[in-house]
Amino acid sequence: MFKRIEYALDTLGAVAVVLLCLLITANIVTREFLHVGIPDSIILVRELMVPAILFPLSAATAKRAHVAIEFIASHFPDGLNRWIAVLSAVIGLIVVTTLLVSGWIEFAKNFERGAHYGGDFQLPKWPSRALFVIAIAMFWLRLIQIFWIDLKAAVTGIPAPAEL
Amino acid sequence: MDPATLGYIACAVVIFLLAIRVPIAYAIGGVAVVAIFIVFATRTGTFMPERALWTTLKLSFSSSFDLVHSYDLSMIPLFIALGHIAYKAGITTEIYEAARVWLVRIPGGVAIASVAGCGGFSAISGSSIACASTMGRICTPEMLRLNYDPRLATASVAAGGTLGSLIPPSVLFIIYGIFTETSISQLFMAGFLPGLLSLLGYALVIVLWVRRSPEIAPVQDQKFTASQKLRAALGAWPAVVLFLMVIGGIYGGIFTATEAAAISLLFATLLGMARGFIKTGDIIPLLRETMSSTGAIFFIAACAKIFVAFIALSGLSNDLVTSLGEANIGPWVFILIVCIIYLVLGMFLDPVGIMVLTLPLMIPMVESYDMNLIWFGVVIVKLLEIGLITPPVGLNVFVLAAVLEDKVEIGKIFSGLWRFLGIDLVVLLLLVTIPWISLVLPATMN
Repeated sequence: MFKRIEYALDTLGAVAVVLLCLLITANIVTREFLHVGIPDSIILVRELMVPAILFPLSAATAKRAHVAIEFIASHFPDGLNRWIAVLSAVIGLIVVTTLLVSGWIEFAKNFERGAHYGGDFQLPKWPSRALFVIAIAMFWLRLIQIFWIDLKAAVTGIPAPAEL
Repeated sequence: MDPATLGYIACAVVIFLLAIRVPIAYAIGGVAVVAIFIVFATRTGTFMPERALWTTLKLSFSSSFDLVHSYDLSMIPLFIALGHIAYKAGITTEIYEAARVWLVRIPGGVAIASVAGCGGFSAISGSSIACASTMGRICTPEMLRLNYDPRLATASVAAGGTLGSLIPPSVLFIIYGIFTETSISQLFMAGFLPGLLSLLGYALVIVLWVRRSPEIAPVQDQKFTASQKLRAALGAWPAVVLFLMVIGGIYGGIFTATEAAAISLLFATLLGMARGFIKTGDIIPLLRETMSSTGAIFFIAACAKIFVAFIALSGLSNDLVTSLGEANIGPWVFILIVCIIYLVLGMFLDPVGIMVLTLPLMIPMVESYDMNLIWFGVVIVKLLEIGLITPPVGLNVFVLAAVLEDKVEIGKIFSGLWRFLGIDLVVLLLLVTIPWISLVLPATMN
């Protein structure tokens, strides 16, 4: 289930990069040859950045791909390292929960008010906030799962899987 | 407790958490969120958690969302994707091949060609680690096959890989530009000559090393005719076009750095498809691989932005600047201290982590000395590059060892690197003492 959703999110992130590339290039072409840029292209690029960057976070978390310093902790006993993994998940949850709650509040506020960026198309602000919440929610769920798995590993002494 | 003291405690907690292997993003972000909450909750003298909660939520969201929701930063995924696509399109191999054909008869020529290949790849992609990993797949097995000493075969690529951060485009320059609000295009131009200087330095190291110990790089019998050499050089035209698009486009004021990233990625993809190396169905899976690493880098940067907001709130940087003024430390001593701090941090931390952790504290101090931020950025990136090949945690070395499936021991790679580290320190000294090297191109660009 998680894997399928993450696969879909990663694919959407990759599609967003393709669209970024095409949009920016099209803007150069129209600017140079037609002397007019694509309307609201900067806003569109910024909107596309949210799925491009945040959608792969859940899969990266499942692969435990967040960068950490191994040097000192690699000398610690395994039992201590298992509890450090639990602590890491708890600290991660503090950040991600903060972002999830604040993202939801921002989304709801912008959706209710019908806030927009102005410009030619008056693009609404809520879609990027909605995408932010979706990405962070998946990240949060993966972290909860990692917390649970690492906690079980710390309590039982059986190593947790390197990847989920 | 005053906010500045809380700032010092927060920094100490972050360092402790990093040391015990808490991921960088979690450590910075978690401490920042809690510290911001404490600052707001205790601001009026009485503990007011409810008010602090809303302010913390708002500040955390705006700091991280504004970073992700950025036009300028869109060049990071585009440049990282360009590195992957250029490799699949055969462009990277052609750069190395052209250099190899021309240099194969020179003692150590294949190693010099590898460094030149790294320089060429660096002008396409923005990541040192991607450079070491890609060139490690192409060059090192070839050198081992030609009976090059494993120390030379690996160290030349690990050191050459560091050029990825200095020769534009560079992810580190982009992050530095965002955090210090300096022009990314100017930073790119500023890194070009120092990158070239480092490349020449590495080539010099190889020449001197091979001259002293000829057995480490057996001279090759392989001969190439003038037409073969010319064909190999002409075969590298896609790399030249990409170089002109990125460097020439930015220097000539034709493109912004973001636009150069997009148009280069499109060019490399279309070329790969025209040559049959990339099918339409390959593009999304290729980009999916790219995005995983980009997401992790951005999450560190997003959490660092929350940390920056806390540092500003705590007044810690002002406190440090005041202390610096009272200590009466001269600019040269300050730069020396900066170099020592970054060299030590580089031994243990990854470059993005070091940058986002230290810049919020460092930049106000640099500005208090009235130093040029573009020049300082080049010095910092060079220091971070050195950190990529210093033991015990030289990331390029570990990446290279992984790419080679541990056929060469990590200790052996490090043992070949000290010569390259020596020339890196010489280049660093030149960059610090002669700011002209970094500033001449930005001063003349359109």
